Amino acid sequence: MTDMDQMWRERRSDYWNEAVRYLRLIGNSGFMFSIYVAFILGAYYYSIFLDWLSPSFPAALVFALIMTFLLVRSPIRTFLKEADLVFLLPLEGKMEGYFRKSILYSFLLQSFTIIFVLFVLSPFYFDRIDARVGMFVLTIIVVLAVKYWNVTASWSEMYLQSGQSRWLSILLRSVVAFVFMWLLFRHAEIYFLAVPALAMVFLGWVYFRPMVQKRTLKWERLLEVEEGRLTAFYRMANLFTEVPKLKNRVKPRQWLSSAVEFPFRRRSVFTAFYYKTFVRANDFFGTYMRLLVVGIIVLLFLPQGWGQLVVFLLVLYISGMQLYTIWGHRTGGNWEALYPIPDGVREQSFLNVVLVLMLVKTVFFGAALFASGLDVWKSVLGLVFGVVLSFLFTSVYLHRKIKTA
Amino acid sequence: MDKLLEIHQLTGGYSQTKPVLHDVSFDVGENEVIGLIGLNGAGKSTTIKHVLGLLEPMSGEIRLKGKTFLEEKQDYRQNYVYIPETPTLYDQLTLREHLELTAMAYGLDRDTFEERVPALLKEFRMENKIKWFPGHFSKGMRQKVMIMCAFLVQPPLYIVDEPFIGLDPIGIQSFLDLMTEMKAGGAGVLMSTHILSTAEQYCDRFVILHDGRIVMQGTIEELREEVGNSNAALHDIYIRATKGDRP
Repeated sequence: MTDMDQMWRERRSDYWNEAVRYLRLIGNSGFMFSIYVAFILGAYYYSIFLDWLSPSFPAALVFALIMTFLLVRSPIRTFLKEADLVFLLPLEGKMEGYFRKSILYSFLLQSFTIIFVLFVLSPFYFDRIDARVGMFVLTIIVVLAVKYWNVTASWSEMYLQSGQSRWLSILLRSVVAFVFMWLLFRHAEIYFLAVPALAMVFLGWVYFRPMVQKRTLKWERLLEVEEGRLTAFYRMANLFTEVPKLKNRVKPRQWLSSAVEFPFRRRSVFTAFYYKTFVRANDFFGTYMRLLVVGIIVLLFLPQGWGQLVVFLLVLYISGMQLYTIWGHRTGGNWEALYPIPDGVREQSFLNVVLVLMLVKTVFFGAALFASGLDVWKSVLGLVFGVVLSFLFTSVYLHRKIKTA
Repeated sequence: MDKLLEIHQLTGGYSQTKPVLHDVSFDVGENEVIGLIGLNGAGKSTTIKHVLGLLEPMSGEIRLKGKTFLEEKQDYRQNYVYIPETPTLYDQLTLREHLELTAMAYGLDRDTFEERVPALLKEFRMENKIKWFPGHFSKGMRQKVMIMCAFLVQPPLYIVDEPFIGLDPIGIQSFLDLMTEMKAGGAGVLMSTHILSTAEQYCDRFVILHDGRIVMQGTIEELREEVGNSNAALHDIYIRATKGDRP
């Protein structure tokens, strides 16, 4: 018999080998620098934010909502592949260990996320919920126990056929998890906590257990969930580097494509090409817009001061890094290398497109600075910095990066 | 003739509120090839998924060798092989490793495996590709891998979804010859296809699905009798049946 446990371990390590390669690329992309700066800025504003927050702020409710979201969302990583639908189907009866490993793995990984989020929120917790460290640790343990229940229940849902019945089940879990978390963060008496805990035991017994016993495993659903997790990871990596495995989706966006008219001449060929690639392919445009909107919102709501300028330049820099990935975007072979066009035109066209896009962003961010009520001279200074950064970033940094790549 | 697969008043599909199949009943016996035919979206694939045990019946039941899937999960799955319409292979496994994996999954011993494989490779002219990875295969070759894996197992029931598209003519003939051989040995085949001329030649009985219901079923003679034309080809019967103007 095939050793299914062995197969599971191989697949997990295959996945992680690939994931680590991408994570390393992300680490080398200049992104880590932005993370450090954002971390330091975040820590600074965090304490200001806590002081500013009114005492009547419903901290327990916010904690309960965040935790409910993290608890209920419990996708199971099975590492299944499409061909399993044919080759492993006859082995379903022998795959109990394989799936048990998947459940445990999903629980551990998602627990790590929960611990991380709680750690980030810990100053908030100690300030508003309870100052005792022991209580905080106890809270983590209870949350993880509820998480385990949710992961196993989520596995049971893999036996459900229709979307409606799955949604009903998820709704049920959300209610239980929310009540539990709300009572937990409100410091309700222990016998109040017993109510949702008993509800969990009861539901597990009469609702989730029979699902597994009386129904059949829905393999197509398993594959769907697995593919969803994988695509989410690829899409994240895709923000920093080209991911060949990501099925490329192209959106026509006619209105944006025709918004800019390119002169019909030889030197414009790559400018038009890169502009259209930016607008249509690989969600380059979507990321650009998201960074723009997030940047504007953050600039508007930060306290006035130099911090705003740092955030301005940081977001502009991240946006530039992200635009650089367009250069690596290759589809349909390298036919454009055959064009009778002088050397360097292609690179210059690309850099020009990036420059213009960064300048557009600079204008929007500058406007946000003015609107936030910052001193006029500091706003103008921000604008000037943005323009200088855009020029330096394209004609020095990217120019060198492309030459050495 | 014993019944291998019995489908009894099956109503099913993905969503409780919108069943795809309505009251479908037919069976597949030993030494019998059943042609499952119908337009795109008629419910052929959904029927097959129910038989595979990937979907649960909303009402009615499916028995393979007398047992439903829920009664006897392991046995049920060991009693059939499935050849999907779109061949799906593992990128990281060679042709030989796919055959080995199948043999292990169905509990074949090594001697049986070594005995059956060379004949299959020869039949499908894949002897020199035994160490190849699927990345180098055309669609037809991938289809051949799926077919070889199926015939390697020699289970009681074969479930085949449109085997002819993408296969070269010799591959098609090899498939048909093997199918005939297995049938003579007692196996049953449930085959969904659009290639009606071939189906007419090789299937013992037909199930014509339309909008999730069986509109006609029986041997070609019975179908001809029903339309009142003793010379009608399966093609004509099918067109009539699915257009809804049954005589």
